[in-house]
Amino acid sequence: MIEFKRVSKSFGEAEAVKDFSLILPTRKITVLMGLSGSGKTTLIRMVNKMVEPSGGAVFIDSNDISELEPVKLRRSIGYVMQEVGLLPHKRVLENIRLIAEISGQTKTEALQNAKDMLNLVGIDQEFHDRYPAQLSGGQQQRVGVARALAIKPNILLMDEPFGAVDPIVREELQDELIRIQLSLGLTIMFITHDRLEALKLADQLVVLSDNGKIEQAGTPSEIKAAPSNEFVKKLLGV
Amino acid sequence: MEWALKNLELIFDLTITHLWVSLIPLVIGSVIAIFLARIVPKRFAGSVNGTLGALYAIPSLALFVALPALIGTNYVGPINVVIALSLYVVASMFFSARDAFNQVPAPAIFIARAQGMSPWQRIIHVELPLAIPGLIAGLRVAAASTVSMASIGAVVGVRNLGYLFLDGFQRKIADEIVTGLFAIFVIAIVLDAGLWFLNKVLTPWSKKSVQHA
Amino acid sequence: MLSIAEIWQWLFDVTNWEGRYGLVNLFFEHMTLSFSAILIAALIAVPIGVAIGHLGKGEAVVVAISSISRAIPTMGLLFALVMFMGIEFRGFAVTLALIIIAIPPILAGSYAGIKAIPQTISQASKAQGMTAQQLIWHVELPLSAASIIGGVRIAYIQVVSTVVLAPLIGLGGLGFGIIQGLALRDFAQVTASAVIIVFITILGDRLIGFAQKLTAVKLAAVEIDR
Repeated sequence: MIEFKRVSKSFGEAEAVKDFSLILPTRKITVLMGLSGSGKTTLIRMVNKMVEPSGGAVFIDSNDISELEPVKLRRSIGYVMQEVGLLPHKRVLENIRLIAEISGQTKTEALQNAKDMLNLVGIDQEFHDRYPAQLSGGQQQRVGVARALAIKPNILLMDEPFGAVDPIVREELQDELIRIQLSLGLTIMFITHDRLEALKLADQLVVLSDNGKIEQAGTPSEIKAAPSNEFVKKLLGV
Repeated sequence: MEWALKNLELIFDLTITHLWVSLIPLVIGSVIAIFLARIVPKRFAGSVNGTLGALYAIPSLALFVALPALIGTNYVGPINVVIALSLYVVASMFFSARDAFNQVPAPAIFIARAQGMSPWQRIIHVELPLAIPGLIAGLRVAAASTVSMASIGAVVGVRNLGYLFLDGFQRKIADEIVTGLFAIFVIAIVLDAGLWFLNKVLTPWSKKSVQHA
Repeated sequence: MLSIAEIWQWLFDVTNWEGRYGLVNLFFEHMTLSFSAILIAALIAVPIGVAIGHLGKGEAVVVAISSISRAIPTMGLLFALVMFMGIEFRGFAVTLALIIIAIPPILAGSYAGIKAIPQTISQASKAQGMTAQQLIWHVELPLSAASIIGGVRIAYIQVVSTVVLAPLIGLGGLGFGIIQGLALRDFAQVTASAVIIVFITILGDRLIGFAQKLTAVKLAAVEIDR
């Protein structure tokens, strides 16, 4: 379980997030949906301490993460983002193996996990020895997901992970994620501005307006059935 | 040509010294330049670059003979030359090395942090390897100037290929001077080709080679 | 180790400032040698660099010249030219060597300056009916001034570094005190001369750098207007 307790964040004068509280239940996909300026990326980066809140606190399984060592914390949380961020100078398999090893696994464990996870996300063995530049955008993003899973995390943070791929591949990747979630049962925090993606993936959907203001939270069907205001209606197109 | 053939042994000895007096500064200077480029914060980069720029403008002979008054070394001998040439390498490489680090893709660095690499792991696994093409490009420029500048060390008593210029001029042997010019040029070219090759070997992932794969 | 007092003493000794090899004379010789060579080199290299940049042909030549020139030791070039032209023409030989040393960076700076001008600017100027001459004079030269001066700055550094060696072939210039001092083991003279050279060279470099900055501001303003 991830809990945001009255969290706020300002960068200099600019306020990105104001008094935000939310619980993300264990083994569920929570989707934060909002436009740019809604502070959603700031929020997701607070979970692995890439951003420190200016006020309030984030808890993982009731532990205040401000007391945890950032590097150690990050080695236990998977992170996937739109730009993927594969290391261009390392081959596909090595990209994943390296991160798994850094997270504390032995060399053999890390290699086995890397292979297993590539298999899980549907990357054939023939691609293992390629460089990232030799993969399509969709394949790169699959590798990005495999990399996040190879550290055996309980929590997966996904910041608009499928934002840069074309619509058909995007749907494939969404289906893949649902399948993976069925077998691994992770606590996933997922960020998107795409309403179809949000409705499709969310166990819990959270609609944000400016500065992380929660306009409505609930299951997709609840929100679709009874949008709380015009903003939610407009954003979800219902 | 005749002169060169008669003095092969001398040329060989001078070449060995010349290599030492050039390679040591290249190694020391590039390590310092890379280190500085990586650790100097952005707001100080301008002033560091300005200081190094002024240093770079100092004529080499003047720097060779100014060092003894500053650090107490002897006026004659290779130490001042090695130190001065190292400083020139730092000055020449600092800017391009910063560029090399700045060109490392931001998402790769971000993910390295977000997945828990320590700062050292990030430098070893991500930043240094990805900065290699830019670093070597800067090193190639520095290498050529260092090899040719090292010859001025002969004026302060370093017996390297620059000695052929002084000796040839005094004894009016044009061939000796031409031999020196040629030998230094060849060393510079060989060093440059070596660095080009090193870059190719160290970056099999770079775009050109990847497309061939 | 030499004390600062000894260096001061040498510097404030009037006899070291007067006469054929006094600092005043050496300074003017130093400056004349440096600047005449840079001026002539600029008169040759700027038009060629601008032409190459304007026509977009011959880029490989510029790149080759500037990388090959780095590998040529200036001292060897200087000595070789004096040797081949004869010691009685050494003044001319030194100037020629300095011109050869100054040309590549100025050429590269001029070419790079023109090349860096956004195509939209030159195209718009042509569309407004500018002739090639007008384009070069009113658009390309002003916009590449900073880069040309940047080339001159590198040329200056290399030329001065070679002028310091001129006493080795029997000419003057501020390097004289270093060469003579080393021979006579008068290290106060060596160090004082080095200090003067360092001071004057850095001052010159900063002045050229200042000119470079002034002209670069112009380019930014033009880009904002666009």
